[in-house]
Amino acid sequence: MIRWILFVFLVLYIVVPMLMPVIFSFSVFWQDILPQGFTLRWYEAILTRPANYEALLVSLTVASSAVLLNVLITVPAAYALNRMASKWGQRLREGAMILPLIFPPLVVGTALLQAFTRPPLALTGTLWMVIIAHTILGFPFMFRIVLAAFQTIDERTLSEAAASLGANLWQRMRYVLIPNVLPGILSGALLVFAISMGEFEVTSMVAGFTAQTLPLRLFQQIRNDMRVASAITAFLIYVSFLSFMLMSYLGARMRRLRAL
Amino acid sequence: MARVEVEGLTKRFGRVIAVQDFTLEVKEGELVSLLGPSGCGKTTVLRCIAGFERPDAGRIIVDGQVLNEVPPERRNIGMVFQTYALFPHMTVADNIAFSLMIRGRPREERERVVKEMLSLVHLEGMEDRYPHQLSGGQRQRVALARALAMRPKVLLLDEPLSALDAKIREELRGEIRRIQKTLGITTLYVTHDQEEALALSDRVVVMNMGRIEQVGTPAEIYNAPRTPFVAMFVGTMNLLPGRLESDGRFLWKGTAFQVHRGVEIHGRGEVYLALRPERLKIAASPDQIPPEHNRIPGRVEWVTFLGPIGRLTVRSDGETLLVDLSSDEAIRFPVGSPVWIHFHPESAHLVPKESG
Repeated sequence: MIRWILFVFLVLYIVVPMLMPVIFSFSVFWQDILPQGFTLRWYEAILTRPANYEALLVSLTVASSAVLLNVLITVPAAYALNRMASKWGQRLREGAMILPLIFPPLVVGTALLQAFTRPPLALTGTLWMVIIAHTILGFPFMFRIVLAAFQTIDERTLSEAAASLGANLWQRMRYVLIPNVLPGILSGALLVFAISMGEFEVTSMVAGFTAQTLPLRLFQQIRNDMRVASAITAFLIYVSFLSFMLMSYLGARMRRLRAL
Repeated sequence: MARVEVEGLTKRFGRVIAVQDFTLEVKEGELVSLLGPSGCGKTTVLRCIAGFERPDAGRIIVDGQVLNEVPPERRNIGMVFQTYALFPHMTVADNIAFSLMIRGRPREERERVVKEMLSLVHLEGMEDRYPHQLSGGQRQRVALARALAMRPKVLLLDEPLSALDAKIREELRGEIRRIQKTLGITTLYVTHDQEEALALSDRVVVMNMGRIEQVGTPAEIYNAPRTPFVAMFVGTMNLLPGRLESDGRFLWKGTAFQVHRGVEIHGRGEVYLALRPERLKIAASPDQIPPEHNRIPGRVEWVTFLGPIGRLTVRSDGETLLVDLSSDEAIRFPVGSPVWIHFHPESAHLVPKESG
C-alpha cells in the first residue's frame, strides 16, 4: 500500500509538471485553477511566425546533420573498437564512452569556443558550429548503443562466416553487419536527434544570431509569449517522448535477435 | 576436391605458442580430424587454413597454391562453426544462397542450389524459416548447406556438434560423414570428442600443447598409441609403468609379461604397458587361464554398470586396473572377490615413456 502511495506521489511529482506546458499549449486561456477553451493557435504560431518557423528549421537541420555525422562516425568506430581484443582496446572502449559524459556542458561549450575561433576553423556563431557541437554531445550516447549492438551479435563470427562464403569487407558490412546492428543504429540516431532538438546550454554559447535553434527561441519566448513558449515546449516533449517509445521498441527487437 | 598441405605451421598469440611446427597432408576427398583437449591448438590450425589467423611461420597450400597471402573471402574454403553463425536476419534460403548472391549468380541458379542443398541435408520445405525458428540440429544442417552451396574446395568444421544434445550429435555425425562421402569433399574436422573423431575420420591427428602427438587411422590411434598422452586421451586405458628387458619381456613390480606389440620400441628401458579394459579378461582361479596368457592377481574394488558392459575396478599391488566385461559376466564378480586378470600377449601394447 505504502509502495503505491509513493508511486502515485512520484507520478505527480514528475509527470504533472511535464504535462503543464502540454495542457497550457492547447488552452485559450489559463488564469484560474482550470484552463479554458481548446485551441491549436499556439502551435500554428510556431509555423506561421517566421522567427519561430526558422528556429524549427534550424533545429531540424542541426539534429539531422548531427544524426548523419554520428552514424558515419560511430558505426566504423564501434566496429573497429569492438575488434580490439587487447587490454588497451578495452580501456579505449570504456574511455570513449565515458569521457564526454563527465564534462559539464559549460566546459564543452567553452572548449568548443576556444577550438573554433581561429582561422581556418573560425566557425563560432555559424550553423556548422552548432552541428559540430551537437554531434560531439550526441556521440557518447550513440557510440555506447552501437557498440553494444556489435557486441551482442557476435560480430566476429558472423564476419568470419560471411568471409568464408566469399564476402569482402564491404559486402560483409552491407549484407550482414549493418542489417544486424540496424536497430542499434536507429536507436542511437533517435537519441542523438532527441538530444539535439532539446539542447540549450552549449548551443547558447556557440550559436550566433544566424543559428538560432528552437530551444534558444523558446528561451526568448518565455519572456514574450508564454503560450507560444508552451507550444514549443510541448513540441519538444513530443519529440523526446516519441524518440523514447521508438527506442524501447527497437531495444525489444534487439533482444529478440540476441535470443538466437 | 583438393589436396591440403600444411607445412611447418607455427602460430603465437603474444607469448603463448598456440601451434608449433604443424605439418600435415590431407588427400583429396579425405576426412581428417584434429583431436585434442581445449587449448591444444586444433582450432588455430583450422583458422589458419580458413585465413582468419595469420601464421607466424609455415605455409598453407591447397591444390599446390600457397594461400598465406590470400584473404579468406578468396580462398573458397567452406567453414562450419560451433555456434552455427547463421545470419539471423535472413531466411534459410537466403542463408544458403548467400555465397551465390555475393558472386552475383542469377536467381534461377540460386533457387536450384538451395533446393539441392536442402535435400542434401534433409530440410526440404524449410526455405522460408528464420534461424530462430529452427532447432540446434536444424541450424547446423543449414550452416552445412550454406558452406557447401558454393562448392568449396575444402570444408572445415570447428566443433560443429559440441553445442548439441547427445542424441542429435550422433545422428548429425552420421549425416556429416554421409554428405562428405557423397560430395567427396576434402574435409578437416576439429573436435575434442575422441569418440566422434574415431567414428567419422579417415585419419585422426591427435594434438596436445600445440604439437602433433600422433597421426593415424582411427584403428591405429586406438590400438597402437605412440605416446602416453594418446593412450590416455583416446578411449579408456590402463597404463602400467615398467621396464622392457633386452629379451623382450616387460617387467612390472617383479612380474614378467610376454608382449608382442609396440615393435617401434627398440632395446630396453622404461616404458608403459598399455592395456585396453575390453582386452582384459577375468578368471576366478589361475587354472582357468590359457597357458600363453599373462596374469595379474587382484581384488574387485568396484563395479560400474554401463549398460551393455560392466566395468570392474580391480586393485592389484597398489595399482588400479579397469576391466570391461559384458554386464552378465560382470555380475559373477562381486565387490571384494579375489580375481585373476589375464590377457593375451597380442592384447598388450608398449608405449614409450617420453613422448617424441
